[in-house]
Amino acid sequence: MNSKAQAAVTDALLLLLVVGILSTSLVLFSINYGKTVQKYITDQYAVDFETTALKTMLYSSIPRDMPSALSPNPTVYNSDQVDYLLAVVKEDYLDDAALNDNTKNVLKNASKIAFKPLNRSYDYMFLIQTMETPTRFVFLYINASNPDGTGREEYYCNAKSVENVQSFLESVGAFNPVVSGIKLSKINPSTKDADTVSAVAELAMWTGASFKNNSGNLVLESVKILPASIDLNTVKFDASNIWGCAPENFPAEAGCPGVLVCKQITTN
Amino acid sequence: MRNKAFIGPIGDDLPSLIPIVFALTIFFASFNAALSTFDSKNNSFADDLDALKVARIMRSNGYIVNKENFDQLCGLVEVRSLKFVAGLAEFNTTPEDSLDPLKPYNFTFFEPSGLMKPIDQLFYGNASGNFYCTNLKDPSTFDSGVLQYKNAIVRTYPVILEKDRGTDAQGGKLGIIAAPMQLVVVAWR
Repeated sequence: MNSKAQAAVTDALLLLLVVGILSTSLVLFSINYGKTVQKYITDQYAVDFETTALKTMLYSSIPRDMPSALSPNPTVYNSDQVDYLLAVVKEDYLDDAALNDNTKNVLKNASKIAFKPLNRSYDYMFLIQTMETPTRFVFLYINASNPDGTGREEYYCNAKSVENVQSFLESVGAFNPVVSGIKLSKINPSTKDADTVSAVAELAMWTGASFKNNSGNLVLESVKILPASIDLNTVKFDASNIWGCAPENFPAEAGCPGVLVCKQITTN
Repeated sequence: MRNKAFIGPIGDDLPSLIPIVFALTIFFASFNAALSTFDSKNNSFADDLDALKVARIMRSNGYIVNKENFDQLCGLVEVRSLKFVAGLAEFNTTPEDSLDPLKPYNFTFFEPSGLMKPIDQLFYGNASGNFYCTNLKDPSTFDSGVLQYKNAIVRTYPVILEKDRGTDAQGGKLGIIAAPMQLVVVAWR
């Protein structure tokens, strides 16, 4: 009789153990339930935001008046002449297949305006590259959080190839790039006609995290920051240039994969 | 003598009944909690997706020509499972500051006094009317309670709105500009 009672208690305790495990699993499952859907919704919002941000940047009007004594800061509201930003980019690219500092500034500012609602929590990269062989980066700009998280740091960048940009984006974490095709034109030196150049404007944003630590040192290997003494336009992406290829890490037989090379923008 | 310790069929199994009842209580409590969590998360996801749907229709291709175009888009929204207000607003207090990249974003739903701005002041308006769209029967019921107590979903998107710059001092037309604005979508159940 005593043995039977002990068996019943043991059975009940075993039932309690099984139910405990089942209940814990159920609670854990319910806590984790929906994380994939939540990520999908967050990604969809990011893609939607980037898509409209890219269009907003390229199609917004900008003032064509030069600053004067009467109007030191011309805006679209007080300028005599305004134009679409994309028209200004095309016009500037036409003569020398490059953008001048003023046009780069206009593009940079357009991206900063479009990103105003999210710029406290997201970093982003905005680039325009041609589809020629080899690829040329007409404009490559990064707006990132600073190490102490109180402000923003801005960079103009350049790279040897698309893979360097891809490598950088993969190293900053989850990102959702959106791309829009655009047409540029450049003067053909032999015929003096304007040749059409296919290009893409790309925007990628990711959750804000500085790629420098508090000491100012880089925490990513996919990017190098040029010192103030070196001009970004002089960087050559070949085996002779340590900024492009870091030969100590990539011996000649391994080729020259290069990295994203950036220069911090110190003024507006 | 043999039945001395026997206190009945249930009484004899009392020690084993305690863990069984305890196990059943744990199981049903966790089952109920899990079902509540699933239900709550499913509702939240459905609301998020509906808010995205409202935003996608309202921003369309990201280029809004005028109030008529905005109202046409508004008429395409057929979301009934949740209430929403979607409207165009400047990034900053003034249109000039809004287009100044150095001026930090300072759009807010509230006045300095802490009260919520009336919906007509919250969103951009011109001679054609205010640029907002809602499925509320009375838009004035969009108040601070929505943002504070209703688990409202708030999404913002940059969009282009064509604005007429009016006329200059001589009466000449200044023309139209494509101005960056933000589409603000607030949705709640």
